[in-house]
Amino acid sequence: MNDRLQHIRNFCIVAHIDHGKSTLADRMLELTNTVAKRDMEEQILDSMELERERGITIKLTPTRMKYTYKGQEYILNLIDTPGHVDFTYEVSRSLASCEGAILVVDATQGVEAQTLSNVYLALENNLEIVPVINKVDLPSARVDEVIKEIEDTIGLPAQDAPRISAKEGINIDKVLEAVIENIPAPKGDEKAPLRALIFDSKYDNFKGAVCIIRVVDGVVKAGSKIRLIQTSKTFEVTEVGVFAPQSKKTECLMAGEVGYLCASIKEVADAKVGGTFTDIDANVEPLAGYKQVVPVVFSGIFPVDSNDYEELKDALDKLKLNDSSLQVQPEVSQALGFGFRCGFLGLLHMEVITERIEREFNIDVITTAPNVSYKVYKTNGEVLEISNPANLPKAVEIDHMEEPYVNLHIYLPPEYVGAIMDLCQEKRATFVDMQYVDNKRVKLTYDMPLNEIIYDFFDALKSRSKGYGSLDYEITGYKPSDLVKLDILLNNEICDALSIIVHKDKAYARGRSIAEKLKEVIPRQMFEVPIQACIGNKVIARETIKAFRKDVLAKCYGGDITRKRKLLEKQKEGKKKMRKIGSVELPSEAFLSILKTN
Amino acid sequence: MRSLYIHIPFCEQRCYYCDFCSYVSNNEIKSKYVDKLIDEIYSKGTDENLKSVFIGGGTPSSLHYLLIERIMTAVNKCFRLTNDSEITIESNPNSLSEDKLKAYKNCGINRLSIGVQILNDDILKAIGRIHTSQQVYDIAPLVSKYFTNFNFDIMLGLPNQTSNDIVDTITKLNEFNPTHISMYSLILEENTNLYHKVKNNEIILPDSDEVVNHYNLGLSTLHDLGLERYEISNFSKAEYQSIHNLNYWECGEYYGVGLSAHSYINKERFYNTCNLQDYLSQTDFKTIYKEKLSIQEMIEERVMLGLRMTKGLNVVKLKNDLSYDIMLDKKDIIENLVNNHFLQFNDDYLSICQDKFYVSNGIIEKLI
Repeated sequence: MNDRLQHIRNFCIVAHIDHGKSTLADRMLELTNTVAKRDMEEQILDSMELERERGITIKLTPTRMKYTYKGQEYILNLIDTPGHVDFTYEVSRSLASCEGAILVVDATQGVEAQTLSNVYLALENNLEIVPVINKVDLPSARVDEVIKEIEDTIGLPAQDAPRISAKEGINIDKVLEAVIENIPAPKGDEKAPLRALIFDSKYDNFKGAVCIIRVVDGVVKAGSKIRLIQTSKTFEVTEVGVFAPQSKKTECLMAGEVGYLCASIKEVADAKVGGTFTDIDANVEPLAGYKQVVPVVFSGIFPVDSNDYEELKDALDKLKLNDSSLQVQPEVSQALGFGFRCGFLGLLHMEVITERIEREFNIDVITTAPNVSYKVYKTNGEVLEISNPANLPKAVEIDHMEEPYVNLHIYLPPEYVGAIMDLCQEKRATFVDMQYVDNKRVKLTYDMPLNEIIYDFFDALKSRSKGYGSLDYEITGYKPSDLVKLDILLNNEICDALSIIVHKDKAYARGRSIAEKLKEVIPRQMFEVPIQACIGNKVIARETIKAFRKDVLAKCYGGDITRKRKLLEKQKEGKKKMRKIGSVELPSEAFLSILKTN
Repeated sequence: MRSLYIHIPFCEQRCYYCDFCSYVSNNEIKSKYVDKLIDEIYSKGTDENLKSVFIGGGTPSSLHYLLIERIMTAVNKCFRLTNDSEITIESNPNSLSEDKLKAYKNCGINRLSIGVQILNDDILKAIGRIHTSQQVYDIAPLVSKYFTNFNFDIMLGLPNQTSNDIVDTITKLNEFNPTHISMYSLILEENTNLYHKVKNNEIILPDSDEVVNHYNLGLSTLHDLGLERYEISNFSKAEYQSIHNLNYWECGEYYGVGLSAHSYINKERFYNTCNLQDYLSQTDFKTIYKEKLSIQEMIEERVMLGLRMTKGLNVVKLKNDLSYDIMLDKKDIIENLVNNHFLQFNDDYLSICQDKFYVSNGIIEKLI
């Protein structure tokens, strides 16, 4: 192996949320003088406002650092990773471009659900794992126990793990040394034809798509003529560079290196994450190693003001460029007009996207109740995948339906096991296994419909375990299920945006709670408004909003006429801002709160 | 022809729900006030015919009848009253007497309005009225002895009021043969004694649904007795609709004299000060200018007030007076409302269907 590659290390950091991953990254940037201490912002890699606010990493930002060890200068490429269950795919992409991973474990918390699932992902990608025990300065640190936990639950020797405090900057150099010593240098042939993996992309208004790449073989530089193997489209490279952590142009990127590439790529689809660039006339196999990502949670996103439709479309296009896991399809709703049905990795992902639309693009949006994708077996033999309840065929045309199930792991202190088992029972989950991780923590495994998780499971878990419970899950496949479509009728008209697909046993309770909520928020109208929750033609819950009748109670005398007129003018002004569902008029706030009803 | 409103801002005690301009004052102030009021009548006098005069309050009957006579003398000197002019005075049952009734009649007053509210002493006490139902029973026969045209005010939405109270009150009052009943709902106004009592849960008022049920019960009871609704809150025997009130709802013009009184003259609104001291000390009766109505506002008021009446809005008159053809301008909306039985159209009048008055604002708002 050549000397250049010997001095490169590509690695990421995996950790449970709050275990100090971003803080450690910051300290490494400081120690390697990549960022001067005075320029240091808290958690510099979390560049999105939203990320810093929520303390989570959503976008990947690879950063090049230089560090001299035993007289040799090394290039260390740190690829930061998200830490939430929704972003497993993003983690998998960063992992595929690394040779190793630092595993940060909080000395006060120990190994968490998230830690495990990320470690398994890293192991699947054949990464060398370097454990690091963080927060050793805290009085509640239980370093030896945590080391034993790592060895017992992960089977990773951890006696020599650096014991650090990222916050206080203690032993950060030991981490860098462990990276150099333990993580293998990248392999690759710079003389071979180019093979570069796109593992992320960002949109830049001036440069077009900025592809974040790992060069596996060959060399790429400005002027290179390249081809994306998957689409056969060709481009001329305009710029290559690295992030340190700001983008910095370089001469070229060679095998083993991580950096960015611009090639006047305008089309969103042409910078598809997971794609492989090669030389324009080379004949090579595309790189593998990327996990296929499938959205599991679906929801309609509509502009509050229908004039914002085009802007919303643009915003989603741009977000898609940065986030290949987001799925977007146009949708039309009677109640909401034109919008998009979007597929997400999970509820947090959905919230993050919605918030980014509102903050970064300044568009007010309505998000309909999230749902999963169902398999519908029709009596005529056709099989449909339905992610929008409004598209479900009529009941008579359906032979049976299947819904996605997950293998759910819940980690929690033993005292909450009873309460959480009850909760899982309520959520149609089937018990699989219970293990004591140690004497303080239990791992419960359940087979559970995904639908139940996206409804309100996470909140219920947190509240019934006083915040101690955590979970992760993976989709295991589809199982037949007794599902029905629950329609909501306002004044005898179906409101398509409120239809949901739900298990038969839950339909009554859901129908009742939706009808009650609607009764609460819909103001009284000029006529009586029946609210009905229906399965097919069968009404399972009914509420009535009585007509507004008060107008016979107001008198009007000579000195009162102006005031009365102004009140009416104001009322008329207010009506202009009303939204309509069929013949029912309601203020925007009520309209939104109805659609937020799960 | 215009109307004249005369405000008497004095009461023996302020009712808990009242936010009108009213004071509990001594005789000296009352007499000074009437002097000033007469000055104002002289200053506004135009010698024109008046279709109606309304002496309201406050409690005009709490003034000595000689003061009322002085006021009426001034009115007669400054304006012309005809045989058809409706001249009303408002009164409280406890402050009426046979002497007063005779005096009122003698000075030209031809219509009486009596604030009964409800024939239930517990409720009357709870809302701060100082009269009792017995005082109503005592004075009512005398009222009908001296006047053929008189009104009882009754109120809905009172604390602990039952449907029985409504039927009972209407039935008993009808025995005195009134020509007119005004049935109003209590409106809880801020900065009233009652408002604070309700906020502190000392008094619980019925919710609006219950009040609407009471209104409907009152409506049918009155109908059975031959008192027909001609405006949302007003009921009368045939030929006894209040001329003064109709003038407001038909957007007629009116002078207002006295404390806080409003005037509407030559499409402009004015009002007097609400401060008694300021009123008493002024010399030139400068009214406060409020607004000059635009054509659009005049149209809105025509529609808003016209549709409060059972007979409805005279669309031909509207077109003639203001060159606005609502039947054309709001064609689709009107057609839709007519098809859905919210509105009806008969003989130049567009009116709200009898059973849809409870959503009148919603209907009116679509037409302005």
